[in-house]
Amino acid sequence: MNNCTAVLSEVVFNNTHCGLLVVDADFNVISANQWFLSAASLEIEKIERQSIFELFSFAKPQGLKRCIHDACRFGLSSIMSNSLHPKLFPLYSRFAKNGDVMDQLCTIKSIKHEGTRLCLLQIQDVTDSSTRERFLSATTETLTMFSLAVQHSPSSVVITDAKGVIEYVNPKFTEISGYLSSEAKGQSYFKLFSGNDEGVFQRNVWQLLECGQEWVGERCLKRQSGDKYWAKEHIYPILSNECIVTHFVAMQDDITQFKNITRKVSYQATHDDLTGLLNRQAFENILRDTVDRIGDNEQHVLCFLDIDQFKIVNDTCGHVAGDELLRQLAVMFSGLFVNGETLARLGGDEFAVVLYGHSLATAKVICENLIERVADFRFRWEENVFGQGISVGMTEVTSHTTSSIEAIKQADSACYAAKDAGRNRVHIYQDAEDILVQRQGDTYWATRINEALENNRLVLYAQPIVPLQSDRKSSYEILVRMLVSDGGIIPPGLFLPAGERFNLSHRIDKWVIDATIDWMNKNTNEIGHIDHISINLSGISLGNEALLSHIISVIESSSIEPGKLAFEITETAAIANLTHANHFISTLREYGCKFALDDFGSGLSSFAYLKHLKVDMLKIDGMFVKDMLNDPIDEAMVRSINDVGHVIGMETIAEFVEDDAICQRLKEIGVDYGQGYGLGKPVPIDQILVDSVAIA
Amino acid sequence: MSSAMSVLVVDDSRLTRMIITKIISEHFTDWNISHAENAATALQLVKSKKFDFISLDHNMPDQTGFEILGELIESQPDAKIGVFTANVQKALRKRFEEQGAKFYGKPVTEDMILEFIQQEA
Amino acid sequence: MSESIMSDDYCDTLCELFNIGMGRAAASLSEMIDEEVLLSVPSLEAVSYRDAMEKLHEQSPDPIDVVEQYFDGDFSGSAFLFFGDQSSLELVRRILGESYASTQLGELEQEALKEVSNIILNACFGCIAEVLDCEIESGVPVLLRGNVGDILDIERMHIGKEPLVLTLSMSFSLPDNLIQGQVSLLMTSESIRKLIRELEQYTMLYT
Repeated sequence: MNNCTAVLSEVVFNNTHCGLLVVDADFNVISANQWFLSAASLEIEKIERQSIFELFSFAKPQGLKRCIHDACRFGLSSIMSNSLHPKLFPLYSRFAKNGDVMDQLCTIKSIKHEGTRLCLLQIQDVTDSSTRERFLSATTETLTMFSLAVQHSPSSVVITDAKGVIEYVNPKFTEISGYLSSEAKGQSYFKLFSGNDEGVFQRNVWQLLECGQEWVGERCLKRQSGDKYWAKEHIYPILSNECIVTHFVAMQDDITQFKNITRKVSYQATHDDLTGLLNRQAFENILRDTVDRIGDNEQHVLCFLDIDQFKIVNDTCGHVAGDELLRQLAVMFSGLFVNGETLARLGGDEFAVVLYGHSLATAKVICENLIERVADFRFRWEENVFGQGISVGMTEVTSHTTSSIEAIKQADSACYAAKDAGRNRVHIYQDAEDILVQRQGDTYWATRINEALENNRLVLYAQPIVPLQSDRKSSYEILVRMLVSDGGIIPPGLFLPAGERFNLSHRIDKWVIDATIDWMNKNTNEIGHIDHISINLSGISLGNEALLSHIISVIESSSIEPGKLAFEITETAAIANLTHANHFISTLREYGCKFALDDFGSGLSSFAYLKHLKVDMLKIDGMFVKDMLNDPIDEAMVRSINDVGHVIGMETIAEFVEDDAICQRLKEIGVDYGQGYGLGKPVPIDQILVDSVAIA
Repeated sequence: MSSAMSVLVVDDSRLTRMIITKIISEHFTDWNISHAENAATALQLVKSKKFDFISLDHNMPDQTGFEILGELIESQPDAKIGVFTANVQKALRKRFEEQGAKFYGKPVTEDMILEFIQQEA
Repeated sequence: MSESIMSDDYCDTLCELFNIGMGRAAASLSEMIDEEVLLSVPSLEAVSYRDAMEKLHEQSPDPIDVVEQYFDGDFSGSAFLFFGDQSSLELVRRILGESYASTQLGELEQEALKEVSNIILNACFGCIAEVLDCEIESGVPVLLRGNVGDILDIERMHIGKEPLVLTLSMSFSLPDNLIQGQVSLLMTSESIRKLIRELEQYTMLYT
């Protein structure tokens, strides 16, 4: 080596940007470059000829010893990495801020110098790359974690570009949608999942997303197979630092199953178990919505339907039969209301329907048709067959309707009115009744009844019962009305139901009995042409011993013939209180009073009870009579009741005789008496004295 | 050492068997030296003959030296056992030494062999 | 063909030398990780380059991690440490004690892998050099990743037209996971002949 090269070598040796350390086979330092010395803060004089294992302390010296040994003995090169030998030498960088020992990568090579093998250790500062690597690996780890989370997310995850073109889908996406990753990539997310209302969705959602807002909603989407599924969807934009949308993330959860369950649960919450129709709460909600949203020119009709004879079926055949009847009627109603009407069972035997876009006039036609259909309907239970009737109350729902509660009250009171007017009919709520109906609360009526009883505001009316066969006398049924202060007269339909509910029926009955017997007593001579005067008794009165004693004492203290006095009890009331009824009936019959079973036939099973109920007369339910000319079944009913009555030795009376034709037919059949508008309307009781003269 | 001893060399490497044999026979010409190239042969031999020294390899194709060590000691309770293996890990050395065997790392040298066969003296 | 290149005796000798080398490597490794490294019995094959390539292709059709270290001196050629499948990752992870499920080797891991391979290869060379008493000079290890064909490219290695390949297969396993490794030496025909001569002399000492 010439001098020039030797000098150059030394210059290079000392200017190399890495540590160079030469040791011999005994680990003694032969030389070290400037970089190494300054990083180790040592001077060459102090380390020359000294073992590196004495100069420095190493965590695991064996590795380094082996490497130096391998190099000096066999000429093998080695590498000592920073990961396996962290901070091998105690070297410090001038640039290190925190004073940490630098990360190092040490390469050990064999060199030959003057026939001796030496070992060259080359030490690189890898602090920067180690730091970078550690940072990278931490970042990678985080990214890996996130990407794993997305990969295994239980939600379907789609990432699209700013135009909605799919760039990434996770496996759950494929599972839910059926599209493979390769099939989905490159397609427009919004075209792939356009849903049912593409236009609306695209417009609304894009507007949101483009403004950088997110969208959450539920949509019915199609899988690749074409099957539909419900997805809860969450789409949100990813914004760059400059607030520009760069990507969209769309997440979907398949909620089809959940939806089905909710639908089922919500179905159960809004529907009546028995009939499957809407329940009261759901109906009221819908009605409230309807009232809240009604337009100025819109007009709907709310109808309440009440089954007239339900109680009889329930009482005579049991709840199972009653339930079956309601089910069958519900099926019939559902079959009739197929044009989007809202039909519901409100409870018990009450149904309601909203007829949308109808006037009262057209709604009335529909409801009358319904009444006819119900009248034609026969309910069969075991060997029994029952006819049915319904009362319908209607009211308008318009922009003038103040609330759904108001509408319900109106329809309810109209329904009462329909029942009162003889059942099986439609009653339209009218403004004229406004004042009365507005005060129609039960308490109001209970107070009014008490007042009326105390102040004698009740008045007696009478309706003739006319003999249809020759050589018989007429009779009269007593009806009660309430007088109001302004001179108006209130029909019993408005106050009797309240009377029943407030246990005032027997007081009303008592009043009527007293007043009637008093009237008869006063007119003993004038009523000789009358066969009997008939008083209605409520079911509750039948069990009232005090009333029974009272009647007897009143009869005894009067001069009237007991045979001129008759009592009418409804079939329903009699059956419901059979024991009491029998006691009541037999006691008064011993005195010579007569008894009639009212509304007979509404529950045909009552034939069986006739053996046990010792009465004198059967009043055939007007429901059969009214239509008997058109309906052969009704006519057969009238015949049957008439025949059976006669066999048992009872006289028969037909109700609702509205015209001559019916009257004529009844005569032919052999019914004994008739009653109805066609034969005579109810009149104030005193008038019958005049009229009977006229008739006579 | 007066009488002729008998030695069993257990090693799958033919070279090692030859080296051990050569070293011993150069010093003790009358010694009887048997070879086993695997564990199974070794176990067979110790049942039929009495040995004074057994050199044992660890890594062998059928069983390791350590696996058969117990059986060797049992049938040759008086034999000195020396382990000559390339597997020079501390853990392995410790396990052999606990069983009373001497442990030598390969490659086998003359010094090792002499130390082994002269230790009882 | 392999039979004719090297006799069983020389194979046995070389095998034992490698065995000793691997034993030392295992001792070093076990010191580093404080666990015992289990070693299998090595097997050695000497085959032609063509046959070796075919076999390696069959074993590893996919890109693999290989650490190469060239050597020069009395013998010249290249030594390769092949890792089976995920073994390279497993080994580094096990030694560095890292738990994350990375699928790639970072810079730090690559250095560590090179060092571990270097320990194994040097132990093998060191043993040959020691026992045969010859001079070897080796380079620093290089990590290569790719197909077997590209890694063992003769042109790249300037190793003559028909080099021979000594393939030493042995596996070492760490307590939980098996790590498959294979050392292959690619040598010029001339070097092989020299090696055989050395083995001859050594073996003759004992026969």
